[in-house]
Amino acid sequence: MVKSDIIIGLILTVLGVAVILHAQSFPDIPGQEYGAAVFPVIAASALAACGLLLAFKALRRRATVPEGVDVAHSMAGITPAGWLKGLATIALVLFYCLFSDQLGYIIAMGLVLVGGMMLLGVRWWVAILISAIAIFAIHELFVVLMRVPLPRGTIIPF
Amino acid sequence: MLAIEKAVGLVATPSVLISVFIASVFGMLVGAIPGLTATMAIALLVPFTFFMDPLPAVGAMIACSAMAIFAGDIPSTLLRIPGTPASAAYTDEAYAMTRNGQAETALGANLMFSAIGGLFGTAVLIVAAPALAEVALQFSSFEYFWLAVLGLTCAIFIGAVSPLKGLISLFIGLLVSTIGLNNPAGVPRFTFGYTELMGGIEFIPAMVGLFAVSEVLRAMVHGAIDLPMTQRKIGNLFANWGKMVKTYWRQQLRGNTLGTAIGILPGAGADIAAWVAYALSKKMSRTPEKYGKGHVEGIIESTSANNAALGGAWVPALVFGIPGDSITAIVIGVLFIKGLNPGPTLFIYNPENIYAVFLIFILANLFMIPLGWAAMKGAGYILRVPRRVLMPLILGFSIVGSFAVNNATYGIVIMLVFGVLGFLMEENEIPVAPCILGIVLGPLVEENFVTSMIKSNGSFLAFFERPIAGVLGVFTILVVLSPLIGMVVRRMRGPATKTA
Repeated sequence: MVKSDIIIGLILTVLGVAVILHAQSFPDIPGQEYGAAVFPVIAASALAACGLLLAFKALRRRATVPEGVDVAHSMAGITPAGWLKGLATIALVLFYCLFSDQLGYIIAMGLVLVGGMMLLGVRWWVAILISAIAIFAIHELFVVLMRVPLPRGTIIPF
Repeated sequence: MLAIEKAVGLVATPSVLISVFIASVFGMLVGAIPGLTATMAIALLVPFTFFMDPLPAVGAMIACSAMAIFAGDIPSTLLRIPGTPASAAYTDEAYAMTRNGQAETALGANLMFSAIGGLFGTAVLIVAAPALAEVALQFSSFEYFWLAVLGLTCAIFIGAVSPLKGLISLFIGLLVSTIGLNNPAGVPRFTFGYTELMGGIEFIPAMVGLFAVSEVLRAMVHGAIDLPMTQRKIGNLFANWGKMVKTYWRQQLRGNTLGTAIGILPGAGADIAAWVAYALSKKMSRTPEKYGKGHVEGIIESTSANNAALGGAWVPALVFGIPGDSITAIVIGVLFIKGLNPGPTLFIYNPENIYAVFLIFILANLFMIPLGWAAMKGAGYILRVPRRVLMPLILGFSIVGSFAVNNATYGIVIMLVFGVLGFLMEENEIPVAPCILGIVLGPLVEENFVTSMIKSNGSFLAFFERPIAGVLGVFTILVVLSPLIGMVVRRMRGPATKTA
């Protein structure tokens, strides 16, 4: 927890300062002292202050914790395979964003669902079967009932 | 009287009744599945409410949240995994009862006292809300500013593990709320030239990301584990009802009152109510030594409290537009989208809508008994739904739901960004709930702050000059300083306890 708190604290401080600097470019309301920049600057200053405090508190704790021993941090327990699965999940969503217009909802969503289930160790035929049912159910619910124009795809239009 | 008749007419339509019923079943299922929270149930429901009329939409959310808070008791009792954080306070107690083979007594108590608690909270809501609305009519931007700040500070300083991390989450949320054109000056902020960002961060995809996608990512990264069940067969749930009411009516009443009071406090909701009620019950009990070993007394008090809190949380939500917890925060976000801006004027111009909301509350708590019975009987099946299959389905659902809000891929991108943000925050023990409160309350805080500053020519003292504003302001500052005060008290007590 100690090391990550220092890193997060510093990231938040930098973020806060960046927001404060960026907010200087906001135009004022003519004739008023309090315009668009006031609130973001207050929130960002507070964020930066909290970030510094978090890092500072972690640094002080570090002095009392023996070298190399970090208090349990849930991210420390993540295996490389776990990280890869997380990244693969993000990639699946990005894939849907990029290609659902061309592939259409059915194929793109099929790949997301089957891919996601296989990442978690579901057998391929179970994954395909359940995904097919889910795709049909979502289609009925959103397209038929709520008239949401889910992408139909340009390659094989449904 | 006329308004009530109109309200009955509004509620007794197929569209309202059907949506309340479906949302109830949905909330019951999501709440019963371990690891899926009541907030997640609401988050997944919101894209649908986008396509509904205001009343069925609000009704669906009320019913869904009431069911999910209650259903969280099922996996908590049978698997020792709280279905929602509101059940966590008495999970060990309920599971101990299951190990003693008394699962049906524990579940039966949960069911009955949840429903009664919900009705009690509703009764308070019906009495208190219109009365408070009268007072709220006289509020100016100073009072609204303090109320919003009070809501935010309570969320952070009451019951939080680390107030500092809660504050960080809040300020992230407030900064997110400043993105776009929607500010007193009407200039684009933090849009970096993207026209999509002009309208601000879409609230629905952001929430789906924070509460649903983050959970999917966690399951992916840490692995989705299924757990074994101790007691498979559930006996007669209604067996001990009469006896429990007779023996524990005091605990029930205390739980109801405490729960409603905590719910009304802006920023504190069902989870905190359950923890406080359990602790109080143990302290007041004649047999505190039985607690933790499978004793129904504490369960009754805290399960009475968490459902009562739900009704209480709606008081500040409807009267001031200040959410009592993350669920009402989401509902307020939806009310704004629907053009039903919460606030005292709602009570004056549309009293029938408010009465209709009250009726739906009562209806939802009555639906709870048969539906809860069915869910407990079917618990063996619901709890065995494998998470490996469920998590990708939730992801797919989130993608389509986020897309549907504007029929644009942009919504999915927002969802993904907030999903990753929520995952990183929770992994580092930064709570997500203050962030969503910040996103919802940000515009309100900013508008009232800037208006007040302009009115008072920049004098911060003006924030304390009006009597109610002054009281609210001092109270807020006390809440902010409460961890410090606690520290001082502990320091002063420290040496005394050592010598004793």
